[in-house]
Amino acid sequence: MSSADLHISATPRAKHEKLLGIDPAINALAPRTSFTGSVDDLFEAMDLPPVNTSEMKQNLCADLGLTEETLFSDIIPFVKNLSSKAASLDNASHSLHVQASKIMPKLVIYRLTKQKTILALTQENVLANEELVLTLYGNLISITNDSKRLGSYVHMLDELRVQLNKNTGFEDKVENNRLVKMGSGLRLDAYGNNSSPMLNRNSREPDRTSSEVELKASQQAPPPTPGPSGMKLFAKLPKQIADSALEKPELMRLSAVYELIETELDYVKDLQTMINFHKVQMATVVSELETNQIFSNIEQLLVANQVLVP
Amino acid sequence: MNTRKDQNVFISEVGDLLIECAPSFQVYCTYASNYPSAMKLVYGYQQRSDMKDAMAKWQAAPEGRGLSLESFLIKPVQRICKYPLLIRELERFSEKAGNTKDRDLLKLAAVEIEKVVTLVNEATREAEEKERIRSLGTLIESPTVTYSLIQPLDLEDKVHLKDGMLQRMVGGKLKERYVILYADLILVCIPLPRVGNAKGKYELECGYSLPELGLGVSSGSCMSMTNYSDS
Repeated sequence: MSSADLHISATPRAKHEKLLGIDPAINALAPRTSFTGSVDDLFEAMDLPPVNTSEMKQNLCADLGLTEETLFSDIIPFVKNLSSKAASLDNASHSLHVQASKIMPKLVIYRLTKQKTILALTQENVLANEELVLTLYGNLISITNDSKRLGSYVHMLDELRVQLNKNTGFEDKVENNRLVKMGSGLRLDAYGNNSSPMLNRNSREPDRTSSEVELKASQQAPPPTPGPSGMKLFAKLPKQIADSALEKPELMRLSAVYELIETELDYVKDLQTMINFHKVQMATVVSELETNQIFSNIEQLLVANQVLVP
Repeated sequence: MNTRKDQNVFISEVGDLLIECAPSFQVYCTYASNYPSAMKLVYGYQQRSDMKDAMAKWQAAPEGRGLSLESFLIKPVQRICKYPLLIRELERFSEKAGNTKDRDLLKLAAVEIEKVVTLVNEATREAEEKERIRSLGTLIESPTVTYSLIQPLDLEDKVHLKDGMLQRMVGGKLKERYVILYADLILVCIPLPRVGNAKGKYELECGYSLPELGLGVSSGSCMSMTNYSDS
């Protein structure tokens, strides 16, 4: 496939098949360049309003589990390339760029695959071309040696995958802001070969290629954004408080307090799951040494956090 | 915090608790610095069909909630990084709500937690750098013309000091060379063209055993290395 072969033929199926392979267009998006820029450049490259607060920058890094330098040294050059090439690419990739520019201030960027294609998501809304998302995910063959990024990508892919299952009609229950996956959903193999995500999609209407599907993010409720467009209260605020006639600032404050508490409780539960379930299971299949190499001092983390929420 | 909620739903203060807990969060340094190698291990498991199946089972189990092991393992890393943001936000809201007492406490809490996060980031960076250095040796390919001096390349026990890109005079022209300095060895490598998305590899051009090396400064700002055993 030459890089000149950028236009994909009309039928959706052909498009899927092409994208399932090594798409030169997507590959062309990922040259490595050295770049000294800031997160403001990143947002400029994506036609987004500038990120004013260091809080947003930190949020981005926190969600990815990256330090600011790592984020900028790899993601920014890639995004710059994406923006500049979007116009010459086929519809699907173009709509990715277009939608990237509609994203809300709270921005989280995920990088997928060996082909280093970026999928831009927000914490509240996943704005993406669903087909492109599935195809990109299906292209996930292997990830770089960077194990830290691997973890965050896989984590977000999991969440995304569960989200997509939800929207394609497979049943998923939403419980306490988390998705409990039911049914087989889409079988997307993150590590092996593509177990074609398209298998389940043959029955879909052909012209969904350019439709924008809005999906809701699943992860733990993010802190309420005191954005210019109005305020949001924490979803699980105790009834007593929600019903009370408190002043708005105090309500917001209490909302943030409960946000902290509830996310902490959820997190502690996760720690307990890792210790009581995952670690125990792991120990039945690998050596004690390896089990400890994976879970490290997780029990100590639990102890520390339980002081906060006894 | 939970018990405070039980006492009075309209919690007036959390800053003090956060200040108290912050120092104990240093345990996150250990977890975070171990995280890269943990993930490497897990990634390796995914290549084995027996492990892959086991992990898929855990993911499908009710406890797994449809999330992979990797998703769980990163949670602590994400959580510790989130604290400064949550606390600063809470501080702002407290300010707006006129709760100056908690605001001041939260200010202190933010400082304390940021100290811990800095330590965590440092620990992570150190671990990553260590790994980078360790894997440096795997990126070096033997040259087509073998030098009798280096044979074979065994860098496992070498004490890494520094590495970086330098320029070398080769046949009157300046060429880019990647130089790695160990305690007793210096390697000069030719950067090879990158193949797709693979990590950049190097071809070993020459290596010098430091004890046998003479260093001189020639005209201009070039340093020259003479291997005594050559002469």
